[in-house]
Amino acid sequence: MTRGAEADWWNEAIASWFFNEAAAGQLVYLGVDDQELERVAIAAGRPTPNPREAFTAAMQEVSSLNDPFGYWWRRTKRWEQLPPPRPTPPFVCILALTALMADDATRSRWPGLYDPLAEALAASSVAVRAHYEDTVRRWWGALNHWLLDLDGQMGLPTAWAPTQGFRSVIGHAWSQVLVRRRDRTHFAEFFSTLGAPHGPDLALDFDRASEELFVRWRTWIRRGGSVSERLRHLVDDPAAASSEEGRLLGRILADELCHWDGTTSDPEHRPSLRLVVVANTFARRPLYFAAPVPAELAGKQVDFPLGAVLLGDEDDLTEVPLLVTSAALSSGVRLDCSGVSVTYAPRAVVPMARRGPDFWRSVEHLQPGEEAYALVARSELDGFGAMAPDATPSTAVMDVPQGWNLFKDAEVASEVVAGSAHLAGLVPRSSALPHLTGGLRLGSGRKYLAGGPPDVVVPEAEGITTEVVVDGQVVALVPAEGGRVRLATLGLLAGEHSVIAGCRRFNVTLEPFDWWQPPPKPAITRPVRGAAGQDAIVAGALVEGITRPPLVLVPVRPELFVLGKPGQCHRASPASAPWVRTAGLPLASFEPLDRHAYENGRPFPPYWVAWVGPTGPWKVMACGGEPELRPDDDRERLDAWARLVQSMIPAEVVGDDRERRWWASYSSFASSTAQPCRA
Amino acid sequence: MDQLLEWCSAREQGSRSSFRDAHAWCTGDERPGAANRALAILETLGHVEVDWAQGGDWAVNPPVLALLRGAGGNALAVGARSPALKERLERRGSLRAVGQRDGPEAWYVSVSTIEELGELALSAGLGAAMDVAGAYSELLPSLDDVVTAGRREVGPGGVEISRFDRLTLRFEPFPWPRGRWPDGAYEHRGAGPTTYALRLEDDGCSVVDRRTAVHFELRRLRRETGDGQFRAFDWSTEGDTLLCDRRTPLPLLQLRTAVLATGLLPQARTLDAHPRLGTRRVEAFVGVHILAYEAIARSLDPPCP
Repeated sequence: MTRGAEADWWNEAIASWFFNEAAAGQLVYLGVDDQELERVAIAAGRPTPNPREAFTAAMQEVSSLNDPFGYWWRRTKRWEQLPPPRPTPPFVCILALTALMADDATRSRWPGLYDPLAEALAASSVAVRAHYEDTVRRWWGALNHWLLDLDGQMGLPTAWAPTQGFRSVIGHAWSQVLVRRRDRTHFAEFFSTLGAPHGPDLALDFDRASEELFVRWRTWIRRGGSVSERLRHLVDDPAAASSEEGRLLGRILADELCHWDGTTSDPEHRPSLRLVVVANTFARRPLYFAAPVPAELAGKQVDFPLGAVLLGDEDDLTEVPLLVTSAALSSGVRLDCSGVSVTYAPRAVVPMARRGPDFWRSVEHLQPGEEAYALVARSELDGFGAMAPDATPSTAVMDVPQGWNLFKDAEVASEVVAGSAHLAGLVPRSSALPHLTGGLRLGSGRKYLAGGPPDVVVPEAEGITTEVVVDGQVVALVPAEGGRVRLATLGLLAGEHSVIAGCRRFNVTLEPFDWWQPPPKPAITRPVRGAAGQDAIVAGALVEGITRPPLVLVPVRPELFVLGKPGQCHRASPASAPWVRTAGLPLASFEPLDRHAYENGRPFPPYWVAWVGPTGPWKVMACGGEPELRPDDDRERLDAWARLVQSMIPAEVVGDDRERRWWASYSSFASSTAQPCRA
Repeated sequence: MDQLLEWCSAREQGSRSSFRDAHAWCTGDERPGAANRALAILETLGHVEVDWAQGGDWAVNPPVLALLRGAGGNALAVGARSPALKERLERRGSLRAVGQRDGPEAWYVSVSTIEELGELALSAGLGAAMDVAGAYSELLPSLDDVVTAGRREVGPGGVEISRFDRLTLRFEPFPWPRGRWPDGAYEHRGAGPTTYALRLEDDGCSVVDRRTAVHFELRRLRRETGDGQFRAFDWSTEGDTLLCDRRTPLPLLQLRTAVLATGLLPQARTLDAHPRLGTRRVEAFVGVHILAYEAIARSLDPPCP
């Protein structure tokens, strides 16, 4: 075998294991340890009893005492001269070796890297120190660029080192081994408790995020979140936030949060069903488990021990055949059901928020204003009772598991919960990250009425003072206890404003409101009826081509009544019902009309309108069904009615020519178009 | 409230929850009923319309200058508002804004003639109307019309019911009847919105709004007892004032008829040995013309003085 063949084999095997199409779009860590090496060897078709020994032997073969990295340096030179897209870099195996050494150092709490690396390469420690920065350190950067040049198709880069300090040279290797797959699973759980959006909506200010996320992660751990033993010391160390390791972990958290897709999966990347406890207080049936359906499991069948269940559409809450027992609540659920990971994370106090009139489900934490039930373990009753004085025992469901109690009105005030891990979920909050709230919002997005910008809410963050920066100016420093900054007091002018609060960045648009524009007049295509009632005049017409629905309103002028847009007018209010009667319109015409289509922004079908009033110009009464149609012989009556209406618009009162024109067009239409007929 | 009305105008329409959020932000008052009360006030003043029966979606009304009867040429601005509109009206005429404790400012514009009103409205992009209260009063539906329109074959369900009590003039808990329901007004509470139903002499049922139910029941009690004991409102020549028991507010259209006489919300008063209303807390609507009062009285059918 030629010299270097073994090293090249390991290089290819490791690169294929970590950087492949399955990793496309995901953060990839070259986290090499003994177990990973074993998997690499097996995946590459050469299982070996001692993969570490084989790997280091292959590395030693191409290394030399005074030129430890020369072999890779020469091959890298040739590789760099290749045109992109370049093949697998030749230095992956030596980077993997440094990661392996960093992993050893992490386990032994020994901070050095050079000596173990020199020993692994059978090289001089002095030579390793002398050449490391120009070779290995540079190659970590080259690996990052290679992955980016491939548009993340083989994974996204994660290697990073601080710009100064002890790990500024060797930090890349640590960045690859500090957290492991299970840690990242825990991170996803942590992210899901933040209540923050994912994807581009997150708007994370990456440079500011590290420390804040580290502190919030640590708080989450202290309140019962999961953490591996590898990272436990960072939770216990009060100075960890400012340590190199703490900053590195914060950086990884920020990176992971930026790329988080909003889901949680188990460490083996199996699809996961995360159970919630559900209460139906109307049916008063016992508590049951259900699972929000993730996209990858929508419509799939999953076999549970008590029977199979067909999951619903994405995000549906599907009931699963598992009993809510005392043991399940106390110890959690962890099942493998036909390749699907089914889990329920135990909590001593389970907040349950209303999701329907009589339908409550367990949540990570309550939102502001939410009503709450709480399922409380007997061991927590004293603490719960003290913190939630308004809570009252509930018998709204049957057969609450032994050792557990159900309470309603279980919200607790935020100020009393500090330090109480189990009750944290009962503290209403929108997000555990800084966020915007309130303000006079105009529609969707971050558009607000000028003068009504939102408030910035900064949740508590242990030991961190959070800057709130508006348009580049620091406007507030929020202490660690958290707080709210009212932007309305800043006198912001209309226009776009940049708001940075801690780790998050928002663009807020303040829009001046100049004038109210009336909705466009509908086009009348077919008048169908005219009639003079006792006190009112009524006409109906088929209206098509509505570009904007009429508003839900009864106009100021009392002679005119608008009953609403299709789907919202299906119940004539008591105030308007007499007018329906006066108009001679059948009440049945106020049945729902494709409300669903309207609410989903789809074009809704033509609908009937009727105008009511002795003197007034336009206002629309929208009806869901067809009012009684008159045959052709009503034409004369209709024309007469239209003339009457037009003549009754008092010129001395109504100065709006558009309305007069509109009525004129109506009149001319009524007297000149084809015969009205049934649709 | 002025900022809230401006927001409603800019937003044009929205849900009750969006209004609740905006109200909480503007006022800092997050009590559950506070936003509903504010929305009801804006509705009473004619600025917005609310679809209470279907969950409380609201929409702002088109802006209108409404000439007030007997107000010396003062026209009331009702409906959507903006700061630009205020500037425009100030430039064009003499705008006078009167603050109210629980509501937005009442904007009055002085005009000398009806032609001037039309011109002003046209130039400011407003609609124009005359004697809104008078127009409303001509069109008030009678209690019978409303109740007839609300007739149902099957009454509402619910978990808890209350019946309008003749002593307290409030809905008090009532056991679910077995057999025939006693005549009266009932409140049904359940999972959805609270509904109000009238149980009628002919065993029929009509689902109406709370205020209509109350006044229909008051009318029934008046007829049953044969005197004006259950009279809820009256009119006083002193300031042309309509006095209405606070516990039994007027239905929306009657309320608007009274409020839009001046554009001002009613004031709370305590009557002491009033000849017809006795001693009680009332709301006083000033400036209600006798004809408007008669129309309200006709529609709700109290005994005439």
